[in-house]
Amino acid sequence: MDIKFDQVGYTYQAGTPLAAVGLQDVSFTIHGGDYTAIIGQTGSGKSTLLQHLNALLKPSTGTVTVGDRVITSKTSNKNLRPLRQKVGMVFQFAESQLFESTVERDVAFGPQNFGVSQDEAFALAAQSVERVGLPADVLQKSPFDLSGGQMRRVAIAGVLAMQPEVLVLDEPTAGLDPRGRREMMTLFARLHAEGKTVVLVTHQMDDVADYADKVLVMDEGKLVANTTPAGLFQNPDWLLAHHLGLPKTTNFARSLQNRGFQFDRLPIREDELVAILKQQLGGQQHE
Amino acid sequence: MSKMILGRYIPGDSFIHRLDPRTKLLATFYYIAIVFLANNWVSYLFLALATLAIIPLARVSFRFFLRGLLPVLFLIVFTVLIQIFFTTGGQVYWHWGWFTLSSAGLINAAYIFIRLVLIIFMSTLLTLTTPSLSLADAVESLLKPLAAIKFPVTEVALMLSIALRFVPTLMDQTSKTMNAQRARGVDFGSGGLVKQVKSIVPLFIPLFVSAFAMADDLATAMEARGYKDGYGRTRYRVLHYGRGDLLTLVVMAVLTLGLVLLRK
Amino acid sequence: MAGIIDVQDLKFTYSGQQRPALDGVSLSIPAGKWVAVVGHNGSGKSTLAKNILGLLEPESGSVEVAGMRLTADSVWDIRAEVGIVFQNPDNQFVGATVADDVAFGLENRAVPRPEMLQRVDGALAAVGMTAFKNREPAHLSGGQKQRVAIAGVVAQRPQILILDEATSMLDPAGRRDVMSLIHNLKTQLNLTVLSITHDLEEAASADQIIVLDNGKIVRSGTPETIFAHGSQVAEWGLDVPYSEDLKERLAAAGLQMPLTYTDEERLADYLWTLNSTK
Repeated sequence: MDIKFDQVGYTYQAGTPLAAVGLQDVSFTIHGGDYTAIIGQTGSGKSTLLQHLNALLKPSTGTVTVGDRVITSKTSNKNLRPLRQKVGMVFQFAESQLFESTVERDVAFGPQNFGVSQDEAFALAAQSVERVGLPADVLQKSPFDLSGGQMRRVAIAGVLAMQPEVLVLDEPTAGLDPRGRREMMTLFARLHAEGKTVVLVTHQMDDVADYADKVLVMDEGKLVANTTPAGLFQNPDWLLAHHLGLPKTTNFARSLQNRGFQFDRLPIREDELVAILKQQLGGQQHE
Repeated sequence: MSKMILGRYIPGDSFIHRLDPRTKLLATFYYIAIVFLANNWVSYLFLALATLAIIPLARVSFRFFLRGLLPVLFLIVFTVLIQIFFTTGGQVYWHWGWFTLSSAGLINAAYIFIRLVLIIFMSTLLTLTTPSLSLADAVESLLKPLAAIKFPVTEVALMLSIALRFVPTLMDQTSKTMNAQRARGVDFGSGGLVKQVKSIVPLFIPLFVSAFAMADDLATAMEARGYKDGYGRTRYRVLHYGRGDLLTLVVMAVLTLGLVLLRK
Repeated sequence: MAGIIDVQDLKFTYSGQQRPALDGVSLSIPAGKWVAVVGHNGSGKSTLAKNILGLLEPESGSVEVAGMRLTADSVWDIRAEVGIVFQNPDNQFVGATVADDVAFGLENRAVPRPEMLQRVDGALAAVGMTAFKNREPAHLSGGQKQRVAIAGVVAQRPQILILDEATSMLDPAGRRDVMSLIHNLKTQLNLTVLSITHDLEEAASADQIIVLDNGKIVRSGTPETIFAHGSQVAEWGLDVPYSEDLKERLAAAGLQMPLTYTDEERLADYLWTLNSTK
């Protein structure tokens, strides 16, 4: 299922004296199975863009096409459920959406809204809870008795249980400790490998380099780059101008470059750098 | 939410913005009271002209005032229609059952219309130029005499100011939670009554949970910063009457005098 | 035992919990130092900060801050000597505007109003928020709200600053911004800093790192000695420093690597020497 933005513009509080531009002339295509990162500094329009992916916001101008569903400013608010089922959305601090008395019921809430029977929804809940790496005994616990990290997983399980084709993640690792962050990113990589389309909003350039195959850069409501991570990080000065950083590996490669190392292309992932250094330095140890 | 202009403060540094909030609060109430003194075309005209002369002093776009009318438009139209059709007297133009269209009805409707619009303009002037915090300060200051009868004025004032401060935060949380649940298939505001009531649960429970967490954090932070109780504290924020406030008093007196003289 | 914060055999258990959140913690923080407390979520880090401020009452053990033993009588005097910045920028913003929030702690301590005005202005200038004096919190970014919280501490003029994951909810720009501000203020105001953190850079800038796990101190030392444990620091709630991780991978790939802790600069120098001597 592809997602296509065609000259999408969005204005907040349109028609009032407080109107503010959220998106301006944004066009791109995300193909089914892609892992796309969206980056940009706070307030650049990333969250506004995300909310267009499942019609929580409708474009003021232009069209958004998700699969065979076309959304314009005229689209009615009815019958959006099939779309919302296909595009699962994990919001920032997703644990704050939990409300049910048990984890099982909370995770089953989404599927039931989309017409799945209770038995089936509970089965999906059990599957999803296992998938996010929680033990089965949490199913009967209250979500509010769990730790913050576990609650986040329950919320993600609640989205997975909807069996979406696209998984949209808005800074899913914010506020977690390093171990929690790593486990979470590994989980999403696995879901992507299993065929889900992943859209990730992040401030972590290492995650962009390590996991994404496409990257969209937002600045002041405009799409300023639509490229690959490898391509994006070749241009450190441009990134700086857009208030963005570099992955640690690229940063380190730059300091090697300053000392005289030669790179055909700046590496963006640690394994790339290790391979290059091994080739450049490793050989002579056996000579 | 975005339509609630009445109650939204527009920052500025105009004459009206700089007035003491107590003056503005009292003057607004006083104005609403004396509007009822007007009872003929000349007095209404005088009042309308005076009001339209005051409004530009706030240096806020007139559009905000017109928007202030929107939320109460229904009320205005309803009141005006009642006046038109149910007032009898003067020349009768049309009559059907209980409905009567008469000259007195039309005139009364026009008066009431002007009266409501002016009252809303003046209340909008107050809320557009006065942050809710200053209004809370004004209320606290005006309630201060109640401390004599052991009414906890300072505590109530602090509660009020914290409540006001957290309104935008909670609004933000509400729209985030609504989005999260809509993404999970909830349709807010559609379906039958039972369905709508049911859709409130996934919104309100997370809101309560986060509000409690917020309150807990806030209490900890307040205690860590040395808050014990309302007693023995000094205040950063104090109110001072100035020259403008005296001027306001004069304007109100002139307005009253004018209305008294012009009414029949 | 001449620290500005001395904690002896501190034990604390949350009601309804079996396992103590703090289980016999002892530490001494010398005046003027920067100490980072690290550990996984749930290791007891924040509980420690709350015990030091008397926001939670220890089960056993003792706390001494700025020469005062923590008791019900001394708790307010101790809080006057300790400023704290919490994790959530929104939930600690008490005042309706920036200036009101900075003044809050001064109001509580009955600072006379003329002095209060000066201290608020001074504190706002110190954190670079003068232009935002009359703003409401809803119009501030997370980083700006944390600056205001820091201004509240500056106005209070304490000897000690506790950072309870103060940068963990900020974006990278906000985090850098707040950290550099705290570094400047520490020198200017001669503060002792106790920072509770997961952030590697924040921990690396400390004089000493204390690792908590399950309510116990499991390691303590300079950043160099802690980071020399390589990938093991991941077990302690920190990211592995990039240079250490890279070093381990290069060693695994058969390259000769230095054994002591090497920061990025030194590792780059080392690799360049390796390259030039081939």
